[in-house]
Amino acid sequence: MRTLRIALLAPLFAWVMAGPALAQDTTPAMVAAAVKEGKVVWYSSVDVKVAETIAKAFRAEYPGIEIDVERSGSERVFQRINQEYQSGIKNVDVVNSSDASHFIFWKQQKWLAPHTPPDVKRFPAQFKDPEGYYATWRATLSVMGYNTNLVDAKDAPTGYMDLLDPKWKGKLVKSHPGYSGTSLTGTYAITKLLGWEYLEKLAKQGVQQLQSTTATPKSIASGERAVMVDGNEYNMFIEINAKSPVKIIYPKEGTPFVTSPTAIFAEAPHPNAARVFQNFLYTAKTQQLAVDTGGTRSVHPDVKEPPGRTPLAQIKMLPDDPVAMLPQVAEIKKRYTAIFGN
Amino acid sequence: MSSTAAVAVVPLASRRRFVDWTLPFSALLALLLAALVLLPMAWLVHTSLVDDARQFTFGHYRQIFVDASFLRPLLTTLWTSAAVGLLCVLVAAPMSWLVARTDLPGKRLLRMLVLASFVTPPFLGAFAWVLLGGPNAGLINQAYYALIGVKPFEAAPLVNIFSAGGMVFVMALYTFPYVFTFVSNSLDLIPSDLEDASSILGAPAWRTALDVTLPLAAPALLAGFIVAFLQSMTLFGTPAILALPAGIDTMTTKIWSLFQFPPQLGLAAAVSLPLLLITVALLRAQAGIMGRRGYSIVGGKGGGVRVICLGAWKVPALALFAVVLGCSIVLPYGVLLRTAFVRNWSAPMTFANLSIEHWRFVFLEFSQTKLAFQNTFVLGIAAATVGTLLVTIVGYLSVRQLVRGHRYLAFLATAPVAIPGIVLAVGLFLSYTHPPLILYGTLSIIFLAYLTKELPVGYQQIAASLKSVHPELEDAGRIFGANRLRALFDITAPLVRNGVIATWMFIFIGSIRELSATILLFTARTKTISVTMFDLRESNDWGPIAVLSVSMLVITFVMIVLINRFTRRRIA
Amino acid sequence: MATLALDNLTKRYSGVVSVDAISLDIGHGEFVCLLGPSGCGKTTTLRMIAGFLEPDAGTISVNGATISAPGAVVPPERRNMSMIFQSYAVWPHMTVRQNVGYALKMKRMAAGEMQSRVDVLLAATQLTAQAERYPSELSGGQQQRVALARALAPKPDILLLDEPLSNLDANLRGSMRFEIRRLHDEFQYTSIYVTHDQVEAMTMADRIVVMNAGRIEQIGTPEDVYEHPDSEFVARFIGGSNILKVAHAGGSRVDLGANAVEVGQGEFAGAGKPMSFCVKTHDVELLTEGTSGANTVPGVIRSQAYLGGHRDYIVDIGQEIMIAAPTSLAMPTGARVAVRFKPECCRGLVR
Repeated sequence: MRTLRIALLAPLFAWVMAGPALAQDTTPAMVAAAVKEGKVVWYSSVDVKVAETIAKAFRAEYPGIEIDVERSGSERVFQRINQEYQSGIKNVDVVNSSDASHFIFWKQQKWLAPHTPPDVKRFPAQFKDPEGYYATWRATLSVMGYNTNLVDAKDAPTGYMDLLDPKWKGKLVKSHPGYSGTSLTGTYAITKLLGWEYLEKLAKQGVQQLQSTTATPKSIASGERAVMVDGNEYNMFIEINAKSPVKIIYPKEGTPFVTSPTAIFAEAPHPNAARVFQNFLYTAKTQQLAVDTGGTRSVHPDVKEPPGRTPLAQIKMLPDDPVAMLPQVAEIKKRYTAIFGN
Repeated sequence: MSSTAAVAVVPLASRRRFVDWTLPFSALLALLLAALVLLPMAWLVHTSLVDDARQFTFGHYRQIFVDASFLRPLLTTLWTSAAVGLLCVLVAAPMSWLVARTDLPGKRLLRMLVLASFVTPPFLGAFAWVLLGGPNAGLINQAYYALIGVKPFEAAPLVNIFSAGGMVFVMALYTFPYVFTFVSNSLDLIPSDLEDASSILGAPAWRTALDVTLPLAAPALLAGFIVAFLQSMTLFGTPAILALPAGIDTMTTKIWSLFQFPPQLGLAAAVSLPLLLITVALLRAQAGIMGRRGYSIVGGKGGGVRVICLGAWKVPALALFAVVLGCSIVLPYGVLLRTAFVRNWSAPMTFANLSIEHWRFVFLEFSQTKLAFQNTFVLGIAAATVGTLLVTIVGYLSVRQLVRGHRYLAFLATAPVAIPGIVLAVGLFLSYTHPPLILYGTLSIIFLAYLTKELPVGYQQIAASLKSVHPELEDAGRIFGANRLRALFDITAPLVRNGVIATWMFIFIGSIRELSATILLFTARTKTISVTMFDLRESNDWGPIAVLSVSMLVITFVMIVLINRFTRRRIA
Repeated sequence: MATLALDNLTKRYSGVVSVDAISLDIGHGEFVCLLGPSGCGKTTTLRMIAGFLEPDAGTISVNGATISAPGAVVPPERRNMSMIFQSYAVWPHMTVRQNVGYALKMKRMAAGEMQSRVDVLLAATQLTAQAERYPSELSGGQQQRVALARALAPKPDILLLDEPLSNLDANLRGSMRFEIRRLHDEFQYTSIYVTHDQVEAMTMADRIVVMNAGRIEQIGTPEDVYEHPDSEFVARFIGGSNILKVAHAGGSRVDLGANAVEVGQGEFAGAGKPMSFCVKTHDVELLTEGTSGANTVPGVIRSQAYLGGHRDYIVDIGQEIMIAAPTSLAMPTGARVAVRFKPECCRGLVR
């Protein structure tokens, strides 16, 4: 049945890619070809330790394939790849970014290779590209949070508007949309909801500006700042697992929901290894690993949420809209930088 | 018995085949150096003057001198650099006087610690001071809050390192050794009898220091100020780590942000040129100050140095050293070591918090470690080897004045001293991202940056070493039957061997710590340890940063111990 | 042994002439001194002879074969010359034995032969005990002897010496002078010795070549140069002379101020033209005031100094002159005196 479908789709792919189509499922032949290629290069915006956990699991499963993780903020990943492609450098095999609009751009540029990992076929339609170029590998929420040593639960803010209270002056930390895709997606959602005036007022609160949404949870965990305006929910889970004195706030105005796809580049230097790895990323086992140890959310139907995490159904979410956001990205970054600096 | 002259002296006719290759070889060398140094600068100027349609324009310059988002960083850079220079002079002048002229105890150790500040990569100091002086979690502020019995945020922090002031402070900590060295060298040359003359007339020691020593050392102070100013102006790591989180941009961080995709190359080039011009102007001024007549008097021969007895003043004198070296060495090294070995850097150092997990992560799990170390060492070894070879040849040709125009060779080799690292990187990027030579994305472009940047240091080192070998030693080799090459190998090479090895190591140390040029030139495949650390900072991964910092310091100090062994063991 | 000929030899440094078309023939086994003040071109000449510098014009030949010409220079290592340098240039990283044996090693001499040759030279220069030492462990005089032994080891045709004694103290310098001359006489090589010290030149050389501003002022035996200087410069540089500015009156008479003086030898400028004459300090007689006679002029004593063997007087006769007088003659400063020039000791100079 599966073989049949591939047999039917193969000519289509061959036409799309104007080249020989590669198999979709991980076959022994594909693994052998991947081992021959030796390694896979993964550019990712996920927290470096989460990324290395995934890499370690991959090495354990496919001992013959080395994996290089190039971790940076989503917007930096985007810039690096574009800079490299402009200079004719073909280094990246598989990319993961928390700014879903990047994938629309790359697809328009015809830089991506269509590939649908077996598990993705069972993903809900809103989490995958209809033409099979990318799918949501992980999701997270851009949450608020606070340090429980520095803020009592009863005093903690409940939403964005609370942060404008003078008592939070000098105590806030925030990530930067010029660097972080999660922050960019969140900024888009918040300004759509509350307007740019909100950020202008927030800027007067003496917000410490960090770059990554992986950095802000670490900042409040260390006690450097008391309250986090935005940060990865999964980093908060990691901190809570490590017994750091932090607590998550799901803002009452709504929490930006950020999907984070992966895709394979058409000119990937290791095309077979890229496919083996891409298939590996979406298996229930890998997804469960990311959820359990990395704290991310998964849209895989077989993945179980660990106990103690607020189910997505109970959270008022602000869904992302990469298609609408894409044309506004440059403007958002520019306006934000004018308000908060680089 | 005696071989006859007719045999010994070969008639000229048969001698024509011995062509002198020195001149064409030197011309080639000059061309190579010119390409290395002048090509990037030419591209810089060109790019700053054309718009996207390749038409001539002053638009980029107009924008940077009108737009507040460019003017503010320029002003910030100027005043903070001046502040660093001033702070360095204020601290380093008394320190060098105390070491050169008084009976301060432990001078050897103090000099060594000043040297340690000198070789500490400034961005490592900045990392360490984030951990020490972060307004709330910083260990110093934590101790301060505990001392006055309040929680963070209930009182203003003792230090806020994320500020222009914090940046100035940390820059000064790793820049003052430049001033210290300048002033110490000049004090060593001021004969004590000039000071004694004042003492005989009844002036107390401090009056003599102020009235006689200070004016005599003034040129060195001014020169030191200029070096400190330039050093601060061209630094990238420290402002990026300490000022950016406070929303403060400097010229270097501005250039860096202009390089984010899509890069605004015209503006980046236009912002780079003022940095270049300021550097050239100040270096000229400095050369003028050091070369003036007043200073050369200082070079006169004098009696030995008379040591001033400090008595009870030893206490405040040592306190000054304790504060400065404590802030530049003891506390930062301490906090980096501590952070490398604890799970949570801001928590108390309990047994439960002790951990080697960061070491395990960096050396066993982090997939960039191997590549970063490999790249760093490949670059360091390549730059040091090629650089040493190049400056040795240039040094030999120019110190021995073997070719006409040898001065130009020396000039080209020392010219990069006036090119700030980040400006050089902009120039290299512009030169090598398009045909005929696309080097961007390879280690070669970073190698060129390191090579160019380290040429002046290497040249000074090797020239000093070559000057100490009397040219007649080599002439003697020639006249006693060795040809030029043989004399070079038999006589000059063994005599400058240690100098060459020291040069190699100086370039190596300079290369493995480089950040400000690398930050614009690296790609995923060509990361070095320093940019890897910089990437880790973006996500506040202080543990792994501390592990890499400690590793880098260990490598640096091993090299320095080796340099000392090689330069000390000179044949008398 | 070899003859050496410089023909029209010229060297310029960035347009400035350092050696100006000099010509000189040196015979087999001759010891020649190039004497002159610093910057006169003597060292440049020596370095051209050694082959370190290329002449801009002119040639150098040995035994008739050209070894240096513009654009064609036999390199130093193929000239069978030796050199002793001002800085000794003893190699600090080699032992005394290695230093002395280096040239033999370059000639690929057999080890045994080399050993015995070095031993002979070490014995001749009294360095046998120091053979295995490094130069830094030797005194200045010993280092100088190492340089000497090293220079003689390859049995050079020509030995070049570039102010070899200028870094030694006065006592050592005296004994080394005789040592160098003794070795020259023993081994009979051709020697060219550069110095600015006329005493060294006088005591060692067969012939002295006085150089000034890149040109040869005079060539002659030490006696010649001392007794019969050809120019004011030579007279002044060799020393011991007074040089008096005069005008040629005609014949062998000159006008010294208001007085006529008979000059017994030398050249004359032509009646009415300015010239000078030189006369040694001990060839001027100091007489009591009022003494008259031929070649006698009045003067006043400005100062005097007792020097053991004689007294030096500075006497003002319109120009100041120095007179070496017997110690028995004691006159106070300020005394009026008369001064007599022996005509046969006065030498007229036009240059």
